[in-house]
Amino acid sequence: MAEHAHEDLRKLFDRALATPRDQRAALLDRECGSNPALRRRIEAMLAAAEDESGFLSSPTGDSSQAGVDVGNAAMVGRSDSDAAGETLDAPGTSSSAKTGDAPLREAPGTKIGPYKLLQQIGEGGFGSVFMAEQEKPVARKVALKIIKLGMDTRQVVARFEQERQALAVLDHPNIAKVFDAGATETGRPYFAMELVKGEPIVAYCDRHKLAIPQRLELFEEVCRAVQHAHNKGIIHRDIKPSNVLVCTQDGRPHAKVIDFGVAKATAAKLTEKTLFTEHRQLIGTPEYMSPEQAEGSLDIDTRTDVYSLGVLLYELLTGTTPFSGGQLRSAAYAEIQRIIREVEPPKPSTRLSRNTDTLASVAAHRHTDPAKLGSIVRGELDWIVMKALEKDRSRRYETATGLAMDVRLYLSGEAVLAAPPSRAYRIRTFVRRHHRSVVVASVAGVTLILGALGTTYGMIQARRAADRATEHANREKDQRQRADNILGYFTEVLASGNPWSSASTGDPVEMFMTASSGVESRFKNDPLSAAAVRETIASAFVGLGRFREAIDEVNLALASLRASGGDHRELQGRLLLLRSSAHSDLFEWVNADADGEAALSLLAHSGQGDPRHQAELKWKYGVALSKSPRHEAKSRELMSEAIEAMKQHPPEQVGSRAADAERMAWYCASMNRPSDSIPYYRLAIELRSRELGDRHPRVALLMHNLSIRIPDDQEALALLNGALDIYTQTLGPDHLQTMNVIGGLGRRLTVMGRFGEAEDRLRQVLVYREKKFGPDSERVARLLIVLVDCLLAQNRIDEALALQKRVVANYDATIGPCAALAAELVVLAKVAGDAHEGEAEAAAIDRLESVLALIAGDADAELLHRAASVILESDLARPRDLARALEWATAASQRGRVARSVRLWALLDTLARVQHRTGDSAAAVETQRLAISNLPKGGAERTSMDNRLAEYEAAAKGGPP
Amino acid sequence: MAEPPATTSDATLPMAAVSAGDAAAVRDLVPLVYEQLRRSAQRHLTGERAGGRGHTLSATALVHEAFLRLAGPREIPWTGRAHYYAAAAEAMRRILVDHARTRSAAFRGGPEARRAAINLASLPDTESESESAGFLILDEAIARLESVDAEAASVIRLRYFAGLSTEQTAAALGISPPTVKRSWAFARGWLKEAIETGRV
Repeated sequence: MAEHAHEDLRKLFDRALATPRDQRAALLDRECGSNPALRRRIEAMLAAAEDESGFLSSPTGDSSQAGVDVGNAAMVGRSDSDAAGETLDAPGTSSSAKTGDAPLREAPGTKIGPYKLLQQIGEGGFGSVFMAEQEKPVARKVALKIIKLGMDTRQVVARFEQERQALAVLDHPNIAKVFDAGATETGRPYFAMELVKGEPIVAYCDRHKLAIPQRLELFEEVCRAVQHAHNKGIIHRDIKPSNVLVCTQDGRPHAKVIDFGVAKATAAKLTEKTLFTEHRQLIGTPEYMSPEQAEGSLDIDTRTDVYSLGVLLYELLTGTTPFSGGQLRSAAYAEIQRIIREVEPPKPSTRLSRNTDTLASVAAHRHTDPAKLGSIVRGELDWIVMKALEKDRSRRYETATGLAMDVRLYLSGEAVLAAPPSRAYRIRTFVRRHHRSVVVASVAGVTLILGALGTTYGMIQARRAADRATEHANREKDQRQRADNILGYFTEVLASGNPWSSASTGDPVEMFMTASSGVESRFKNDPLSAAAVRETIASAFVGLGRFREAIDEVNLALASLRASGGDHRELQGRLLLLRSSAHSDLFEWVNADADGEAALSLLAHSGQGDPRHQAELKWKYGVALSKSPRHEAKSRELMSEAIEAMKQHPPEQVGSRAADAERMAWYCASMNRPSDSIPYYRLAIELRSRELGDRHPRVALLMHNLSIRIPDDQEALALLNGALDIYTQTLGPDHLQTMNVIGGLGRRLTVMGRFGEAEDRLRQVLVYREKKFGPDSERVARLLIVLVDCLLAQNRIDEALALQKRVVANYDATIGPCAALAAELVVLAKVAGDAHEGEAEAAAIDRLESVLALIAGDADAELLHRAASVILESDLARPRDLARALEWATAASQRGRVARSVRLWALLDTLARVQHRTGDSAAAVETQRLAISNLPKGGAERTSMDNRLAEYEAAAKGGPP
Repeated sequence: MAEPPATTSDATLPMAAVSAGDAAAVRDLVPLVYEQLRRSAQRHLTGERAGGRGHTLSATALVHEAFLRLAGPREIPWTGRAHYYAAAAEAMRRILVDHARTRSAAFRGGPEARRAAINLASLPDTESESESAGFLILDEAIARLESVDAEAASVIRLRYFAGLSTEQTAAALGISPPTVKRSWAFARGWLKEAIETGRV
């Protein structure tokens, strides 16, 4: 092409481009009237240049070009009036939306797949959103989002397909459903989703001048919705105000999170290709993007949403995002990454006080004044936001619920869990800084020692604080030296875990054995420190499942303490409690109880130690006893007292909140309120993960406990497997706790009907326990009970009977007559009956009779009811058995009535059956009528109960048989 | 990820000697920048693999990131950066062409490659054969554009290869942002039309 020809072409193109579209035809008529080829070429070029999708559409940062702000899903389902006032949060994309000169390929009336477009309700760099109508299979209106992208539509749709099943089960009032994805005729991907009327959450809150508490309530709702999706395995990846639409419903703001599944389907290409081409477009919306997402990491989990939620909360509080859009958009990509990954944003309250020019209007939008707004946000809300925005995701809230819960705690005036780093955290980082290699060398030893060390160190520090008030500096120096000595000793112990050190064996038990044997010489002149060190070692032994060693260590510590003279009742009390707990782990209840009692009375009379501390120790004792079926009542009493005392003396240190949550969880669980315990367990897991790291055995323990209370099988399995993983890595595969979790898996798998897997696991634990604790130990019996259930569920009666006999013999020998033994006798009688072993059945019933007579008041209605039922169902019930059954059923009904049992109808039904069987049909009729009146509406048992009533009535009319 | 831009000083040295408008200086700079980018990308690649992500490439993304690191706004003053960007864009182009050539064997020159070329929204995924083939066609077209309209070709190269924004491109070329926009629109129109109709 000749040069002048090109110049002409260029000139004409530039002129045409600058000419409004409706006048272009005239211009081209004039300029290329004689040259139709030139005209066609110019027209093709103009079309290509103005097509904002496809060819070379995405490497630009120029605001006249539509961005490829893929994740941007603004304005889905907005009404026209709302959309008019909307600007997209990406400034670069708004101009094209406003000028509206982008050629529209889809217009009202167009049919796309099963959808007919009705009207456009939004547009932006990502594409357009239409209200559309679907006729088949259901007639409904949907929002159809058509992505304007030069990307592989097939892949987008394929990726969507991968998530479709998961998306289909998203069912939450605060989540907009995504129905479908497909390709338009022009090859662009589209998504069909629930039509939502509303405006972006930030705009809504400002327009309605929602005060901070109202905003927080709304935000909590959003977190719960996101958590629901997380539970179903869906990560949103693009949470931002325009994806959280709010409308007013029944006078209340109601939030809906939109675009679940969209970001993931459209995102993969981003990380590989568009990510690095240009700042604004490379990445959805940098203001809301987590550091790991900005990094382009492929390892994205639910915590990326927690981060984005944190940004959203920041904006709801302050009116701005942590990093302003301007700040990010003006930077080169590497700089954006650096900012998101490294720069600590100002706390919300700091941000508010800095933006003095806008503060007044920000405050007005929050229905308050500038000074007040600052003081509302400062402190706890600052902490909550900053925790959600942690760069390191392991330090963020573990879950969206965790964030929601903290917001809830704030709203209800309770202490939040987010806080500046705790003392324990500081100690940990100190040790880690100095002994990095050690941490790697012996995870188990270190985690155990750190927990224990924190206690010792804390105790000494607390005492130091007390001393400051009463004693002089000399004493303090002394204490500090003592603390440093102890710390130094443990540092050496830790160092011996270093594989490069010649003394190392790598076995934590060995390590603590060595530590124990060194105490004598190291602290020859300081028996008090020796006792403190031994306390730490003893609790490490408990943690390692070495209960005998722990008891020995406590005994040595107590000896040191005696040698030191002076009044150390508090430490002595703690040591006794530790021994009590070791005994209870060995199921040596008499010793456990004796030590616990002694400890409590020591502590009560120690004169020192605050009531809070004493309550905590009382709690520990209660928990230790809770393992014993015989001490249930006492354990509950101790725990209740401790909880009461703790309520009166709330913790001073933030670190104690984790312990409080654990206690409440445990308390609810042991009071038979499993569902109440669940949120406390979750909170405890959150707090402990933060305090100790999320791979800590303590966290695993909580996960295991939570799994027992969780009704959902899949979640329970996930928790158990998670706990198993942590234990295996930290405590080793042969640890007591590791085995307990395997047992827990067996139990849950039995419930789920996966008997083969369940039985394998249970037998594995059985072998372990028989070896470790002896074949006749109580722990073995506990496991056999689960195994019996597993066998019974498979109808393997004879095997179950053999094992159940072992259980009863074991309980008879170990714990003696108690409700637990009675319950096992009921099972034995029933299984023996099923196996047609009349003799064994009769023997079990006889024994049951004597045990129930002995424990009289301890048997609850359900146990008595089951005992009566077992006789009723027996083929060979003797007359005196039936007399017993009548007695038990009567007692069961009475107790059930007193306790307002919801199963009173069942208790009465059984009583009526016994009455009928024993010849008192008249009484049976009356009882049965009462039973039916107590049956909840729609009870499935109604028919059979009515039939029985008719039978009794007939018998009653015919007189006594 | 924390790759310090330590090698930047190598590039800034000849830069100091470069005077505005000196095309030879750009050519001298290219091998140096190219080498830096390639090394940096290589290190990234091996690092990624060692990290076990099992994610091959994209070299484009890595090179690009390496480039942004080298050319980060703090290292080089704007006045000296025009050449540097031009050199970097050229280096980037060469790396991509190298990659694309090894990938595009089956598709080269066919109608499918042509379709792939006009579907390129941004830099190619060099793992994809069709995109690689399309990219080679686009590259040829840009070379053709350069022969008739050097400014439009420069705009395309800086924006497409170096990922500069309108404003940055304007500053680098010493022209106004509206001119950049016009050239960009023209170049896009010209290239697409040329590829579609088989002019190149």
